[in-house]
Amino acid sequence: MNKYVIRNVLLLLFLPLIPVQHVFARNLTGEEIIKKMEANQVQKSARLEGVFIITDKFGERKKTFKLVSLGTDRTLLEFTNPEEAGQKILRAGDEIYLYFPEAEDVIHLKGSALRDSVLGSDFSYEDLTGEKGLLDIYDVEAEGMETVNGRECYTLKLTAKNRKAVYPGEKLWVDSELFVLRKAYYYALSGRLIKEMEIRKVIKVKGKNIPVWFVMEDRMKKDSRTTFIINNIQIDVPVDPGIFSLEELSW
Amino acid sequence: MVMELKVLRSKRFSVLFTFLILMIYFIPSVHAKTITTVKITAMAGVTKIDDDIGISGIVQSSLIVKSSGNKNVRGYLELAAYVTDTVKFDIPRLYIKARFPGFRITAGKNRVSWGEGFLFNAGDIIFEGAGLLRSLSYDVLRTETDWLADIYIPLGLFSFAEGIVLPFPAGSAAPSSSFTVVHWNNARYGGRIVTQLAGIKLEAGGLYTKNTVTPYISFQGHLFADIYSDCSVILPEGAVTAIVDAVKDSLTITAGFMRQISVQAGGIVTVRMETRVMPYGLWTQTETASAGSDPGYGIFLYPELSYAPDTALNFSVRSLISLIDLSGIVFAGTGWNVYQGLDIMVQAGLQFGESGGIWGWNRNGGISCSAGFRYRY
Repeated sequence: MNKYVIRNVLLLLFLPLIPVQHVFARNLTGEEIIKKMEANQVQKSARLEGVFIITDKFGERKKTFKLVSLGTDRTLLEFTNPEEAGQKILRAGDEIYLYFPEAEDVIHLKGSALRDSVLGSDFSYEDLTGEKGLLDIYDVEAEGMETVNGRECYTLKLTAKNRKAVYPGEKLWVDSELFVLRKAYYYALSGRLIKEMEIRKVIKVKGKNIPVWFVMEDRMKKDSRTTFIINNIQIDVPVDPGIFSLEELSW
Repeated sequence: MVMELKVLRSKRFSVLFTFLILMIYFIPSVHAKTITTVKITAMAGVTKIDDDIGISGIVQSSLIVKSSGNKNVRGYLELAAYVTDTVKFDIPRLYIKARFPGFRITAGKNRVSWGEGFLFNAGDIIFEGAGLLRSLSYDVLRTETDWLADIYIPLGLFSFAEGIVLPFPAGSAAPSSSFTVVHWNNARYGGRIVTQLAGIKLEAGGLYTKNTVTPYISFQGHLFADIYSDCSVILPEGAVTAIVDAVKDSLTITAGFMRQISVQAGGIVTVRMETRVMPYGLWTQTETASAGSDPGYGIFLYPELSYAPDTALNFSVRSLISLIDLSGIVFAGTGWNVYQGLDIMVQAGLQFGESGGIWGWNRNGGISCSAGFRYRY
């Protein structure tokens, strides 16, 4: 159960990074836009604190955490809510380690386990390691322009290149001015809409537009919603590379 | 005599109580910030006893106080109470960790997790992780702690060396007073090195106790699933022939794999299988196996299947099987995180096998069922 929760948080945590890879602009090819936006959105480092709120017909459950990242492939996350306090996830390159303080145990994920879905079905661990971009997984097609919550957006249709993709199809609405994701639909192979995500708030930090409020709705479950909020974020701050180690994970 | 015992207990309790108060005072003083967590579990159940049905109930609580303000010092105190028709108190964890340039030290009562394995772990030579368990009903099966002093030396991002001293013999209770003196030769001394090579986690270490040395090796890698294996032996001091005999008696190999599979509906299925093999153990059924105890059979299996459809619900089935006498125990359970911090749990256990088996159907506890709540805040 705890591993499940950790995986879901991991999924949500990387939403701010992954969607920006979808950005499209009129005068550039899809590949050029994605490469440009990936380069634009990479931060040297980041420290953030956040919460994700699971809402169902019984009410809300909150999971709080803090996270430190360096470049695109090193992340250390720690839960701070009482139920999972002290549980950590370390990502360093293609290595992912989980730490469970109650058992004083470190679990190493490796190999094909990285291709497993990060449980909400949106991304795999391999996606999170940064080894693959969207262009490796999807063909991208521009569909036109639409307005989402008063913001003009490009609409993009993504089709998976092979069956390894967790979602065979996606539709994205990308803010044409800020170049951040505003809305996304995720489809099953049958074409059925499975999940819907909306970004409610984007803030500017050191000249970069960063989504800080996401709402994910599972269209296959009634009254089910997950809200992810970043309360505090600092980017391009000094981070000691040594903290992305087993020593820090088990501290 | 009774009076003396009461006085003695009273003095011990006073010493313990004073010690606890000092610790509660001391831990926050490491730095002003503390984190307090309370965990209460209330369970009630029915179980088969002889040819009748027994009813039981327990409320278990833990108060955890952790320091959080100093990035180089950690204090941790856990007080536990077990309330049935009697009341029992315990201190499962009580330690201070301090980090210095190049190493860190832990002193107090805590757990260390050596080797790999969820239920069977021959590398867990400190807490005898290759032994059988009487219950499979907990989220985390092995949480034993002990009094220890531990030094951890990082050797790289994914490598480290660790040395440990456990002053009290295995299975002994907590020190009866603050001034218990143990002869150095009765303590346990151990060490291990953990590293990573070509994506495979490698671990080797050993534990020295009076008259014996227990070395072990462990690895964990990935090939379609997480796979891991451990091997340990207990070597006595003495002649070579005695050592050869001891290797035969104690050689223990554990191995397992774990695979997580996402399902389209949005959930995850976890499959785990572990085994414990003692090549020179008993490979025929003994008539003297007592209920739930380990007669040293050559092979046991631990299969586990769980399904978590979302973040709030999970189902699991676990089993511990003796292939030698074809007996076993199966636990099925579900947990539902209804509200923030509140879980509802329902579990059922069933033993199978002949009456002479470790978990024979006719043994006490042949069938059991329990339900309850857990609240963390």
